[in-house]
Amino acid sequence: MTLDGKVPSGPIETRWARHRDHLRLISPANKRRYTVIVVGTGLGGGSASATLAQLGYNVLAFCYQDSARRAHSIAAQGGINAAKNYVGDGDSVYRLFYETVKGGDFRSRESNVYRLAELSGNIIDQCVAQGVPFQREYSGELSTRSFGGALVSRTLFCRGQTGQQLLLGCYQAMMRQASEGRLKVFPKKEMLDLVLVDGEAKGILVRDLTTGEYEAYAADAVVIATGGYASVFNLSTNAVGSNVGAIMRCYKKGALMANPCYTQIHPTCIPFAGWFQSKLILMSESLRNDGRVWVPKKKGDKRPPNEIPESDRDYYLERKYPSYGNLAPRDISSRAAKEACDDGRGVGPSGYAVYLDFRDAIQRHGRKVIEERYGNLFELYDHISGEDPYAQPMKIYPASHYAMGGLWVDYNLMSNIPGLFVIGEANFSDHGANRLGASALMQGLADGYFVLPYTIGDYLATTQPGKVKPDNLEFQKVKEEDEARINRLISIKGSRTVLDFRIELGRLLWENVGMARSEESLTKALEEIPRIREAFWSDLKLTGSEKDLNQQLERAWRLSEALDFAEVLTLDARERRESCGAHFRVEHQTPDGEALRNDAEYTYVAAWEYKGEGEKPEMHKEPLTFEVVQPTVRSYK
Amino acid sequence: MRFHLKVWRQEGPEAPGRFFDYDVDDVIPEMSLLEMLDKLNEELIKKGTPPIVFESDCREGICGTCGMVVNGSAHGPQPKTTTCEIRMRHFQDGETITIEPFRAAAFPVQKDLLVERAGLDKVIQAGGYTSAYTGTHADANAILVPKDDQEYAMDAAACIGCGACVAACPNSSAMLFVAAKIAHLGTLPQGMPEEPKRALSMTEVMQEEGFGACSNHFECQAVCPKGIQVETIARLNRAFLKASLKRRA
Amino acid sequence: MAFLSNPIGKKMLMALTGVILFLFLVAHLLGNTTVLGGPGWINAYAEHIHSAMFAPLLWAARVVLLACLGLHIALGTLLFLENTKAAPTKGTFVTYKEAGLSSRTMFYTGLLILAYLIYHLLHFTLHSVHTSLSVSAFPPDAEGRPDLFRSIALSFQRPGIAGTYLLAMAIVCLHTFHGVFSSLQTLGLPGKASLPVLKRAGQVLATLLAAGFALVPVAVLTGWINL
Repeated sequence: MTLDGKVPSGPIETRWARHRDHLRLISPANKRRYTVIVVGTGLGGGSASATLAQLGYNVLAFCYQDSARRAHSIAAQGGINAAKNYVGDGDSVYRLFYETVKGGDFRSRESNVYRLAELSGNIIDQCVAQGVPFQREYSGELSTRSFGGALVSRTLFCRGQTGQQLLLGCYQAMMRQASEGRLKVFPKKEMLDLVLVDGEAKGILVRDLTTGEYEAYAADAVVIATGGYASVFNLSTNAVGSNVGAIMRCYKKGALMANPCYTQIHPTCIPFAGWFQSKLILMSESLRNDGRVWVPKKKGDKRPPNEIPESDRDYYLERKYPSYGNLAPRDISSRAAKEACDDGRGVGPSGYAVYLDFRDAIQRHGRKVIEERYGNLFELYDHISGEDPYAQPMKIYPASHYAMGGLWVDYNLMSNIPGLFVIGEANFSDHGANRLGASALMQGLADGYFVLPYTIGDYLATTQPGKVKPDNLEFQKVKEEDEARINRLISIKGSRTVLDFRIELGRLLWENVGMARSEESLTKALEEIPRIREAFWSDLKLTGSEKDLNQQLERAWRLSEALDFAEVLTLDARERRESCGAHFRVEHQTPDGEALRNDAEYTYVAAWEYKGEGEKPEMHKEPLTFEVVQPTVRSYK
Repeated sequence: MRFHLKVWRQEGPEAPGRFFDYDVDDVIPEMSLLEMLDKLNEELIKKGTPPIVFESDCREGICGTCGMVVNGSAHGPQPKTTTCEIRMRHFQDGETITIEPFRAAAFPVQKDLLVERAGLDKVIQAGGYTSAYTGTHADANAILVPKDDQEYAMDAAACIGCGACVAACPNSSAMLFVAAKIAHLGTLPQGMPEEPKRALSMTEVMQEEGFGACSNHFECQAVCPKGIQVETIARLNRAFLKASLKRRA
Repeated sequence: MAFLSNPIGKKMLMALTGVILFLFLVAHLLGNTTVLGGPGWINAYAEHIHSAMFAPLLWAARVVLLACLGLHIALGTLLFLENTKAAPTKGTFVTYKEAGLSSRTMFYTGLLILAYLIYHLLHFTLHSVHTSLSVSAFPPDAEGRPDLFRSIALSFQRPGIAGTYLLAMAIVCLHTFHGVFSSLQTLGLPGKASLPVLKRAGQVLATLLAAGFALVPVAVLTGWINL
């Protein structure tokens, strides 16, 4: 299979404009004859369905939540990048493009990233028109702040709830289209499968989560916007319902899974308190500006932190990385925390946490200054943990946060299956091996508002509208397969719960395919995953029936897909014998512990093709070429 | 810690419900209330009993999915907290905790603690938006927004649509929900032009969807996890009056 | 009609009629203070407002007040029924945080006030109860005016009657304790800063009003006012 990214050529500054001008269009009168399915209602799916409906298409939007407004984009805190250069600090489209390519450790497509940077400004204008209350200065102009990995101040924000406000903008735009009848929202329906007719994506099968009924929906194109897969690690910053099911079903129908090994671990989360925990809550990275990270020098030192004298503390980041200290990059500080805890020096009840101490900062600046800087974060921490960070150090631990990998798409955001489009975190396209802060919101909205609405027309113009109806035999076939799979889950009647398996898988991946990966750990995981899967399919215990509201069944189905996905993720991680961005192979590091890339052999996108149950997937390579930015050693020293 | 729970269980929308008693042992103070229910559910499944159905998603207080009446208060007794943010250390060891679904005619119980809240989406469809097209707009700084207005809009925009205001209101009114959206959009220059239409139609649809009227009890404000103020309701009343007078004229 | 079919519209009319009725009570209270001045004052005041010059005004006021009362009761009942339908049950036990006894009993205190109002009108306006105490049962005063003062004083000397009036004033207090501020809120008056101030002011006003009304029976009972 040859992977054609359909990337335009010529000067990078005008690639998108020229490409857009040559996309096929559908006349306004004809648009209403086309139906588009959008799965997921986060920033990608929400912005896409509102925009497509506004253009005149019939849009059917699906989500598993009880309202489109609850998609997990809502939890994004920090902000959204835009190359507006409002503060005149030298920002430009090129600089945002450059920093994103560099931040992604030279593993992304230049053309896609440039387009993203180019559209970043429009997004802000669009959101302001929708009434998103971005933070303002006393002049009435927009405020900006700086964020990790950037040398300029280009992040716009709505307090600590930027994702929420942007998502409500999308949601409200959707509700407007819904009131005008062009968009129909189907909450509480989970996509079970993609339906292909003559090799093209023509519909989906869903399960109504309230009644348990299977329902078929036909369309002229299908858009997947179901987010990432950080939840395969069990504990992540994702919502408890976030899952890999939809993209995994597309993969099994022939869509390629690209770079699944690129998973981002965020270093500052409220710690893990035990395996009972359902998720990990993110704390802004900005805390590391003033907090000092440490663990006790002695293993198993259970004294309260304030009773541990200076001489028994190991400020390991300052010790290992004297120049960057506590502000060492995300991946490095995450890995260092893991090492300390694996060494038995972790703190907290579970032993999986490190201290983030503000004692010295409070002594130096006074409590008032620290309160001004981090008051709301300290309050949040106190609220959750019951500990006062002014009096004793915070406990933090890294957590799985974001997926850079996802379904393979070309420049038009269409997968290798005609008619199947993938947007937002669900695709692999823009972040390479590592995503910079405040770029996820930008990508979701760029895809949904300003890219897909153009590119989908180019595909639709080649198809006959309404060609496939839900009574097509393919729907029946897919329904029978999926019904059988669900019935199989129900009929196992074993002894272990879904959560039990979810924890087992998550723990295995976290320990072997997490922050530090090795040939040995990955091989071990590849041996263990099939064993867990087999146990799952033979010893799962569910209650209730499939024709009912059955939350355990929903989770079991999602986990069954995560088990299959885990294998591709691990395989991809093993095959990529280099370190890049968030993918860290311990065998491939510089003497001072930095990621060591191998550009000669691995400057490609690894796109995996499903070959059937129990078969090893086949890897296809899309070579990456860098015409504008020359790959260099990514150093933030 | 150990707790005695009285949990409302109901097979379906039409079925009668009642309280069931459960004892949960080995609860860790750091656990959230929902994690304690997760734990209880694990034990129930192992015994072959159907687990308690409740909804949650982000588990960090922003998505608005979770919602239960805990010890007589929507989202529990602590102010400015969602159900998922409640930590068990706030309860006394050995305490009896009563857990019920959000109750309102507009929120029919689907099963156990899970209620249907589609009415809130319908209310937003009635005008809770600006009719801005996706496309080219003036630069985001072209229209200046006074900082105080932006802050006020943001206070109101923080609503997570959980429906606690409806659950706590003795009339099951959604006025705080409507008022928050109208205050958010109506304070910003981009949302002002449509305010009259919004004030009239959103309140009408609120009634059609089976929510009650506001009697100014202010229970909504007391339970709102995001601290939305009832002053927004006074603002909505003004907007409604202005819109009505305009319509007459 | 669109205005009235809207839940806010209904509430606004409720609030507006409520405010008018409250203002009437304030005027009524000012009139009542003449009792404290002795027979000369109150009897003169009563004769004055019943004089031919004021009769059209009095009747106009009566019509307006009756209309307000009717609307207030009709809308109140309608809203009560609608709200009860919207909230059939609020769970087994509910802990109230901001809603007080006053706000939660508005409909019931309203009904009690209606019952009291009928009694009060039968007593002092239509003279069809306690006829032996009615103004027509007494000879005119020294100036030849109907001796309202005597009627009031003798009525409230009976603990049963005084007690009923005092109880009624407690109920009026309970109703207006929430009602005054609630009306202002519904009419959209409060701003961010003024809301708590107005709320407290409404409560104080309601309490003062009821206390003012209670003053007359109390004054009679304690012997401060006697014949």
